[in-house]
Amino acid sequence: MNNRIIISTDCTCDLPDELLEKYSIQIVPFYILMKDIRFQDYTEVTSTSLLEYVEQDNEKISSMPPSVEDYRAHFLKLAGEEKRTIIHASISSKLSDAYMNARDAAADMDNVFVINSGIISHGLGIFVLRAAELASRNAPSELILSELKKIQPRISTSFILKTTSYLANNNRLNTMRSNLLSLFKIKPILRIKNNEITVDGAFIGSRTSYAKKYIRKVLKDKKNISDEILFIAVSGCSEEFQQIIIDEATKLIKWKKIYIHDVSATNFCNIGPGSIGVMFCTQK
Amino acid sequence: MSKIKKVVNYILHVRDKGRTINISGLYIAFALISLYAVIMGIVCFIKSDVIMGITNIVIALVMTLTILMFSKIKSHTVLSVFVVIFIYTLMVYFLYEGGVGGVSIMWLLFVPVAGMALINLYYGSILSLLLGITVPLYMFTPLHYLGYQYSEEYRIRFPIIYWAFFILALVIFIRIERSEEAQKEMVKKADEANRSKSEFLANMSHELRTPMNAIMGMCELTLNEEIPENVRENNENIHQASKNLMSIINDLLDFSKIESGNMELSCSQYRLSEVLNDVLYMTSARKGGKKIEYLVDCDPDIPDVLYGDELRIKQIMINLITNAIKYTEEGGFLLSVSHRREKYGINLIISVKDSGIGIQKSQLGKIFNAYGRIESEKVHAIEGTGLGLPITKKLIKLMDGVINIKSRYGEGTEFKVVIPQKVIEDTPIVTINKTDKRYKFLCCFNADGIPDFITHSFLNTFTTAMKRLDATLYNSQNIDDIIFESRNGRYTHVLISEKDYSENKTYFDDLAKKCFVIVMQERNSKIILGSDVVRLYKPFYIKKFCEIINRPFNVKNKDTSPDAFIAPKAKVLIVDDNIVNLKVAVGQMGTYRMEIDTASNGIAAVEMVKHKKYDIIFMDHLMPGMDGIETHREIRQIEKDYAKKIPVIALTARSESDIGGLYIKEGFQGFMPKPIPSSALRNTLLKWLPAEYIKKKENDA
Repeated sequence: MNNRIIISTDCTCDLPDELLEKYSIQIVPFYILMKDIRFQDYTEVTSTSLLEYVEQDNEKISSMPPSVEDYRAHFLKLAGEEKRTIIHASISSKLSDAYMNARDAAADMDNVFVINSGIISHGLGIFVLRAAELASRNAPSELILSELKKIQPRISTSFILKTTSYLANNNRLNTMRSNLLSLFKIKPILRIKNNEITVDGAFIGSRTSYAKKYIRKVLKDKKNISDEILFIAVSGCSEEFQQIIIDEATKLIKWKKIYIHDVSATNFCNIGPGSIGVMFCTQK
Repeated sequence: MSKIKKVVNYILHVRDKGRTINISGLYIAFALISLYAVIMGIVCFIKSDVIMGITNIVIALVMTLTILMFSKIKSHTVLSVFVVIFIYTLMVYFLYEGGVGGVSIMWLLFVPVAGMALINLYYGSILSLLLGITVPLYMFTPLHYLGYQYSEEYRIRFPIIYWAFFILALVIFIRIERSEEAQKEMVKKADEANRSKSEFLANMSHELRTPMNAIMGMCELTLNEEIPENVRENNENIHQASKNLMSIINDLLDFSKIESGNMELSCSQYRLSEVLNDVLYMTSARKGGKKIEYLVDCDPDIPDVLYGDELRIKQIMINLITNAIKYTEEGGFLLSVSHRREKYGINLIISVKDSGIGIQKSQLGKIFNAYGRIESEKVHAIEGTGLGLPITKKLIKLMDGVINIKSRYGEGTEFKVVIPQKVIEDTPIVTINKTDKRYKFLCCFNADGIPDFITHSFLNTFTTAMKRLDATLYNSQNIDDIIFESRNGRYTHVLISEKDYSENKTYFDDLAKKCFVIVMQERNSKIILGSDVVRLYKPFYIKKFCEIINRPFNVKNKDTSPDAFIAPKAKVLIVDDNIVNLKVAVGQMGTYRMEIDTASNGIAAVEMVKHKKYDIIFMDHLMPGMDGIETHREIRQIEKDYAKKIPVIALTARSESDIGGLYIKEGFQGFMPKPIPSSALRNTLLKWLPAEYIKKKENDA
C-alpha cells in the first residue's frame, strides 16, 4: 500500500508539466470565462490559447475558482478508499476564494490539510515543490506542514505588469488608477508576500529596458538569495524576449536551475499579456 | 450610486437613440415649468435661499424625468432643443448677473466646445451663435444698463475672444464630423465589397466544383469497369490527383470566405456518433501505405444528440487527423473525444495526439498563419497548401471554442480543441445492454513500435467496456498465448488483429463457432474472413465495439461492412441538366442496383413523377428554366399522395454550409454536395429507402 502523502495544489502554481509529473503533484483547475463559455484552466485552455482572443479580438476574460463541490470531488478522488493523506496548497486567499472553498470542502475530512500559501504563480510552485520533495521521501505530514511554515516567508514573488487593465477588469484595481497608469505608461511592480499585495515601485521606458531594470531590482540583494532555483513567469512573451530576461538574471546570479514558463490562464486573466514575474527563495 | 448611474445612463440613452416625445400641452407645460424652476433655483442659491433653491431644482428634475419616461412620439431632437433653450437661458442669466463674482463670464468661452461636444454640431453651433449675438448686444447697447456693469476693456475684448473661440470650435468639430462621415462611407463601401466578394465566392464554388464533379465521377465509373492494369493505375492517379485538387479548392474557398468575414455556421441537431462514424470512414483511407496505428478513444458517456454545425465539426476533426497523418511516419496517432458538463450543455473536447515529427517552439506561432509555412527540413517534403490549420482555428473561434497545441520537436504533437455545444438529448453515445452473462474477453494487441499513449488508450477502450459489463479482460501481445488461453473454452470473446487471424485462420474459424472471434481489420483489407468471424473495421471506437457485445450470439456474423447492400426494388429519379453529372450520378448509384430514371430539366421531372411512383429523387439545384427548388415545389403540388411524401435530396455544386439551410427551409429532406461522397450517398439511401428494399450484398466469400 502506498502511504506516500499526496500533494495537491491549484493550477495557478504555474509549474511546468515535467515537475508536476516528476513529483506526482495533483492539480485543481480554475475556470476561465469568455463570452459566457466556461473553460477549465490547464486542461482545456492555456494562456497561449487565450492570447490571440485577448490581443486581436479584445475579448473580455475573467477567472473563477473551483467550487466547494469541485474541491470535495477532487479530494475524495485523490484520497480513494484508503483515505490517503492530502496536503493541498492554495493560492493566496487575498486574491481568490479558492482557499475558502478548499477549506470548506475539507472541513469534515481529517486526512486533508489545506494551507493558504499567501502567494501565487511560481511562488506557490516553489511552496508546493518543497512539500512534494518531502513527500517523495515519505516525510510525515507534520514535518511537511512545519517545513512549509518555515519556507513561506522566504519565498519572493513579484510581477511587473505591462498593463493594469486586466486587474481593473477583474475589479482588483480602480479603473481610474489603471487608466492613469496607462496614460503615463507606468509599469508597476507588484510584490506578493504573506498574503499581502504591495506595490514595490514602478518603471517606465521600453519593454526591454524596464524588464532589465526589474530583474536587477528584485535580484539586488544577491547575498540573501538562494541560487538553487529561479522561476520566471511570462505571459505572451516571445522567445527572444525570454532569452533577454534569462541572460539578465544569469548575469547577476549563477543559478543552478532556471525555469521559464508561461503563466496559467487564470493568472493571465489578471496580469494580462507581456507581464513578467520572478520567483525564488531567500536565505532567510 | 447605482441608481444614480441608472438614471444618468437612461438620459444618455435618450440623447443617443431618441425617445418618443408627446407634443401634448401637458408635456410642453412640464417642460416650461422645469425650465423656470431651474432658473429660479439658481437665483435662490445666489440669494442664499437654499431651501427654495433645492425645492426648485427638485421640481425641475421631476418634470424633466416625467417627460422623458412617459412621452410617446419619437424625436431626440426635441430633447436637444430643450437642452439648448435651457443652457441659453442659463447663460443669459449668467451674463446679466455678471456670473459668480462678475469675471466668471469667462466660463462662457466653454459654451461653443461644450455645446458641440455634448449636444451635437448643429444645435451646439446654434447655441453658440445665439450667445455670440447676445453678448455684443448686451455689451454695446442700452441693455447693458439693465444688468451687471462690465468694465470698458471687458466689453470690447470679451466678444472678440468669444467669437475667436466659437470659430475655432466650429472648425474643429466640422472636421471631426467630416472625418466621421468619411469613415461611415468607408464602412459602407467595405460592406458592399464584402457582399460582392461573397457572391463571387459562391459563384466560384459552383463553377469550380461542377467540372471537378465530372472528373472525379468519371474516374470512379472507369475504375468500376474491367480495365487493363496500366489503365487502372493511370485512372487511380487521376482520381487521387482530382481528390487532392478538390480538397485544395475547398480549402481556398473556405479560407477566402473566412477572410472576408462571410463564413457563417449552420447549426442544427446532429448525432455525434454519426459524425464520428463519418470522420473515421473518411480518414481511414488517408493513411495510404503508411504503417501507422490510428486509434480512437471516445468517452462513452458523451451525450449523443447535440446542437451545432455538424459539417464544420467534421471538418475540424478531419483537418486535425489529416495533419497527424501527414506528419507521422511511424508509431501512430490517437483521436480522443470527451466532454465536460456545463450549464449551457457540454464542452466537447477533441484531441489528436501523434508521435510525428513535432514542431519547434520557435515555429509554434506560425502554425495558424496561412501565409507563412513552418521552416523545417522535415516539413519541406510534405505537400499541402498549409490552410487546414488556419481554417480549423477560424472555425473553432466562430464556435466560441479554443484550440491548444503541445509539441515536442522530434517526438510528436497534440492538438486539443474545446467547443461548447448544446445538448438536445442526454442519451449517451454508448449503451451496453445489461446481461446476466459473465463475459470474458481475450485480447491480443501487439504494441511493438506503437507509442505508449496509444496503447494505453486502446486498452482503456476495452477496460471501460469491461467495467460496464462487469467482465474480465486478458490481454497479451503474444498470439500463442491467446491461442493457449482460448483452448480452455472459458472465454466468450476473442479480439485479434487480421495478421494474427490470417496466420491461424483454421483455428480461429473453428473457434468462431463456439464464441465471438472479432478481427480488427483495415477497411482496404483483402483478407476474407470466415462466415462466423466478426469484422471490426479500424479505426473503431467504443460504440462499434459495444455494438458487437450487444449482439446475441446467433447474430454474431452480421457483417459490419457499411457498403454491403443493394436495393433492386428501389425506384430512383435523378434530375440534372448537365449530361456528364447525370452520367456520374447514375454510375455511382448503379452499384446499389436500383432502377434509375433520369431527367434533364424540371419540367420533364414533374411529368415523370406524375406517372411513376419513385422512392427517392435526387434533384440538382441550378438548372435553366425551372430550377431545383421550383421543381420541388411543383412536385409537391401534384395531386397524388406519394408526390407529397417522396424524399427529395438536393444536389449542389456550392458549399453545403452556404446553402444547406436554404434547402431545409424549402422542404427538401436533405442535400449533398457534388461530387457526391460515397459515404453520404450510402447513408442517404439507408435513411430514406424503405427498410424492406435494403438487401445484403452477396458475401465476399
